[in-house]
Amino acid sequence: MTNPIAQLIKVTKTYYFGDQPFHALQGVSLSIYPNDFLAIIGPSGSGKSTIMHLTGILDVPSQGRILFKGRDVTKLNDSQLAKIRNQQIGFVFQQFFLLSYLNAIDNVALPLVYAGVPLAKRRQLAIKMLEKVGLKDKIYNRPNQLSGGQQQRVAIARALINKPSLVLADEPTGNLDSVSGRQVLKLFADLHKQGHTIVIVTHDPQVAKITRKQVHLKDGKIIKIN
Amino acid sequence: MDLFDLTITVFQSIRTHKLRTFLTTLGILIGVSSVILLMAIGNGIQNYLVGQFKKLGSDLVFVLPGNLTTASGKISLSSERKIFFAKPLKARYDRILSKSDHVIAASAVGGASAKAKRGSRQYDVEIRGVRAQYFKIRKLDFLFGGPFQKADEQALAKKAILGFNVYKELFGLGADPIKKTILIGAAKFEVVGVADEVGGSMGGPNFDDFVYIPYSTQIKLFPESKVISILIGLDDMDNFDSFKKQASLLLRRQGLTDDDFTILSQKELQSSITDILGILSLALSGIAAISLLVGGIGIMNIMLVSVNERIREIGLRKALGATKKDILIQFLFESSALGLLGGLLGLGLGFLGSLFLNRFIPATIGLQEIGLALGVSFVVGVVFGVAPARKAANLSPIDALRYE
Repeated sequence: MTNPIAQLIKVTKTYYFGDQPFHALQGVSLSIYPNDFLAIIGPSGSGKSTIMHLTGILDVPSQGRILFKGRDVTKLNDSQLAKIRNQQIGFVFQQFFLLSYLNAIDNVALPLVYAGVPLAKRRQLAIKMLEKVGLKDKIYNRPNQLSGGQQQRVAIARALINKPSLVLADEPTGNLDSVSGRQVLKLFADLHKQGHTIVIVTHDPQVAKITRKQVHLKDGKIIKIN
Repeated sequence: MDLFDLTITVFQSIRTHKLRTFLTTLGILIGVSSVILLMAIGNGIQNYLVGQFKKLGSDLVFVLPGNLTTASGKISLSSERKIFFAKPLKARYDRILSKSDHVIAASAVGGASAKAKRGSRQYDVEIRGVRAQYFKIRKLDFLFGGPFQKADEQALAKKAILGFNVYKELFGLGADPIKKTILIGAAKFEVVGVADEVGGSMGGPNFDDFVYIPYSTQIKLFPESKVISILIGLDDMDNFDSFKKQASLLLRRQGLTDDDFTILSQKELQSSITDILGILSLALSGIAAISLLVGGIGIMNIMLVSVNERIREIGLRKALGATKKDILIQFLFESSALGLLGGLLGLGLGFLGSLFLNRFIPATIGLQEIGLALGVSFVVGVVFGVAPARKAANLSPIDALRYE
């Protein structure tokens, strides 16, 4: 059996609101394997976004271990973590998080800036990636000149530009109308067919349907995997 | 992130907030332009003075009334009280001083003010009564004619050498004034020479307003006039100290005390004036430094606002692979660019200001001033950018992304 890309081992995450502890995750274990197409599904407050942040090593667990390709991420320093986020992980957010003062090409190319790729090469790769997500004629548009669905496709192109091992999408259709939402989900399904490993965090069972595997969360615990 | 990407990023950010950027740089702009102007004026005046002293002739020594030496051993030209209580210098001291070693020539210089007239034209002039040997040590460029002679002095001749302004006002440019007569006070004088233009005055007497006449004539016609200095030419300035000792002895024998006179080399006189300028520009630079400080605080303030506005951008950049160092450098680069931009604009404004001021007083900007202005504004940008940049760099990516 192949090794997992990311592994959460008995992970607990506790937030404090004043003196009041809130256990967002309680002893969660989860492995993500190459070419997985996974939905993490649960109601608001179930801890699904926390799983995504921990898997994407944007945050550290209160207890337990997180392994990324076998390396314990809690033992890595800032620049090692930054390198993993840059090279191994692609993020897609509900609010797109595109930089308003950059056009589509430069938004998509942003991870390549931190990878040290020269400008001309960056633009070339970004244009190719925008073509792949169906935005060939919008490459010079700024975010405010794009529809919500188009913005999310720019964000997906940005997530894919460094050929990551893992794509993490947090409610990617949450801010989209149903038509755009369906297009974005179809794009994810196509990307999975091309061999990408994709994790979608959602509260919407309809979204979860397109994935191969669903992890159900409730009150910070995994209650069902199917 | 390399320098090229940083430059693009900063440019994009500045382009997005043009007005805010301009207002932020205003403090630095005002600070730098005032520093530039002050330095330009200081330089200009210094160059001007050095030039003026060079025109006077070299190897000159001045004996001035009163003790101008301060407790610290420096020369202060502003101790008027000391001069007021000093015994006046007498014209004959020049002959006494000529007897000491190394002296080429010595001349008492008497001063008085009067109106000069020619026909309907008139002009307020400064009279300088001097000996014929004055012109051996004080090199005048003659536009017309030349100096008067010893015989003229002995004969109490009414001969005059006009400063450039006096000539221009009484005769008009181009006219030949030699052997023509003018009225100084009530007496008729024959013009024997015209000195070429020396240039504007720095508040003191203007050489171009001078009329040189024989000292003996001055005493007779203007009995109220005083000896304002005794000018001495030495063979070599290396002999100044030995001359000073001898001369002091000679003057004390005339009944003067050390509080009644000061013997100054041209260099000392020059540095006493530039010292005053130095203190003045130091004080003004202090004010400019405060302006730069305020400008720096303005940059820090705006950078903190900018960090707060862009918290989610910082979170995103971290999620996409930016290290703490990348973020730190990005914001430091931005604040130093703001400083540098303010410096450049200030330099431009200061330059325009100096062009304008040049119509009234000399002002020059050198490479040193440009380098200093840009360097200081860059450093202000970096120093005041550290706190905001650190704040940005230390944000946790998840807190930054979740920031509402």
